[in-house]
Amino acid sequence: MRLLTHNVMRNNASAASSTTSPPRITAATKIRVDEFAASASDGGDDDDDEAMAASRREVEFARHVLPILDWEALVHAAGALGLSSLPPSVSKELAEDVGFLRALYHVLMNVHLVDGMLTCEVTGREFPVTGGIVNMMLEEHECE
Amino acid sequence: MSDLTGISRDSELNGKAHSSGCQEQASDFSSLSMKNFSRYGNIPIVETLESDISLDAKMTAGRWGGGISRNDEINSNPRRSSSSSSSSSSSSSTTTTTTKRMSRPELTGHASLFYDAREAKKYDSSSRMVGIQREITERAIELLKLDGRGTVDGHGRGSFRPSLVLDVGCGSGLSGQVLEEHGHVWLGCDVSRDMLNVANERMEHKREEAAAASHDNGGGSDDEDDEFDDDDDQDADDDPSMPDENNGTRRRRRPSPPTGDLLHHDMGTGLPFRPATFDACISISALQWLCYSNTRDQFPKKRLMRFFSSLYVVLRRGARAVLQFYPETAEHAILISECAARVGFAGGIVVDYPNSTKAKKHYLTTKGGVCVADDVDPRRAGGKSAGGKRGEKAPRKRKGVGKTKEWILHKKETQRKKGKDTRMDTKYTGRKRPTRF
Repeated sequence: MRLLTHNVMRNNASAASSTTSPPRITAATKIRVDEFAASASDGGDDDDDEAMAASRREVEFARHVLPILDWEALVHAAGALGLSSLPPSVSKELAEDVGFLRALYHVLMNVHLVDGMLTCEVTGREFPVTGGIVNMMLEEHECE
Repeated sequence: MSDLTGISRDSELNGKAHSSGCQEQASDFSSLSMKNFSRYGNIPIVETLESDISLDAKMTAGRWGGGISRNDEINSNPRRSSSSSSSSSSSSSTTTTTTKRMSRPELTGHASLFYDAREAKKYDSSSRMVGIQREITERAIELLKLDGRGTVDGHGRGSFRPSLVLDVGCGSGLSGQVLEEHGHVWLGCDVSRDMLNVANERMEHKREEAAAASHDNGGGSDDEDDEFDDDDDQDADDDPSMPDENNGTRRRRRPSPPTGDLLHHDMGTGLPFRPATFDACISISALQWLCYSNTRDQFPKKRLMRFFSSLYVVLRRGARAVLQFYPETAEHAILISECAARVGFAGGIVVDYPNSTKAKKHYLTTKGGVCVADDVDPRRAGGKSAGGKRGEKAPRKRKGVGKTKEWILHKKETQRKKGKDTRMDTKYTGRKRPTRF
């Protein structure tokens, strides 16, 4: 479960309808951070082009997704996974900075919680994460 | 030793599984039966057959009482096929009853029960299934009309922006794969953990490839028109992560890391996401599962309403959803579109290949607030689509292309020449009839 997924999630049980923030990460037994060299290697020009295009797409995506993020939850979640480099809030200038966006993409997409637990703050309901997949199965009686 | 071999051959001719290595034989039979039945595409039949055989094997094991060593010769005996055909004929009666089960897996029970680990593997490895799902996904993506849509190529210009797409009922990630090829980021949810595991495996694999490729600093061009270096004909022909000397035919570009993520979740309980999150939603061959209740407290309509209302909420303003499904009856299709309309979606059902029972595909296309009326592909429309624009229709009174008066007279002449009993030509022949009621 990447940080992006975690950030857009919420517990939609009827008991938790008062909140729309994602359940907190309360246990993180296994984390994985992927490293893909997005920047160009010593290859030929075409390699460069492709890598540049990929990098541009990442930046565009980060820019597109930034407005829908719950920033506070993101900072908290990243902290739970051992990343403390995120600023507490995003200023307008920062939101336009390509370097920041690239780093944001990395944090959102490449940091995975493989095994752990999420807990809803309001109801205390727990959602286990195993093998990178979060279990959000609700019982019939929990739903609206 | 040769005597014993003779005995075992005879028993095979009789169609009985011999005890020597009957365990292996049972497994060989099952592999054979899979080969036989993949033709029919009736997957559950394999189960029936296997259970028959293992029962058979158990029975004969008791009679023959083992102790004879396994002989490779036996297994490679060409007569084996006769025994398998005899067992297949005995179970042919079960073929018809189980056929229905396969075409409507929703009737067997809960999705997670049908798609267990074995089914999931089979689903994913059947190339026909994969082909069909890919095609459907491509069509769904086409119907989505995403902004900044474009294919990811080696010289991608910077205008393309990946979208965040929700894949409901993503299963083993086949549709997600297509989304990735189009360069989007997707989130998939499915109720069957086994299917998700298969999807996870695939993503793992892809991730490793991408990691290997990116750490391999070997240059190599990804030109559209580069000449392939054929000197290195390694057996990694299909492996795009190998240093680019050996570029495969299809995927020449460097493998990109997987952009999908998975959730184990039941769509009938509502989508657990924050409002206005997704740029689009697709669902391939999954929605019909909502039309059946599996437990006593599940009501299809309730689940459908929950699903659609939550879908409406989690989509961004103006975002589209394309949900391909297989309605068993017209009522199901109506129920589904009713629920969609009730929560505020506008749109309709696009039916591809409406005249073919097999190829027919229903796509529920919705857009928050605006009607999608222009998605009809004339090639596939067959003249009809709910909510779509009417194709060019000739004026109603006009006869078909070939049926003018002239043609009728000519035809009657021909018939007369043939000696057939034909009516006289009068002033009424081929006359324009008054309008039908």
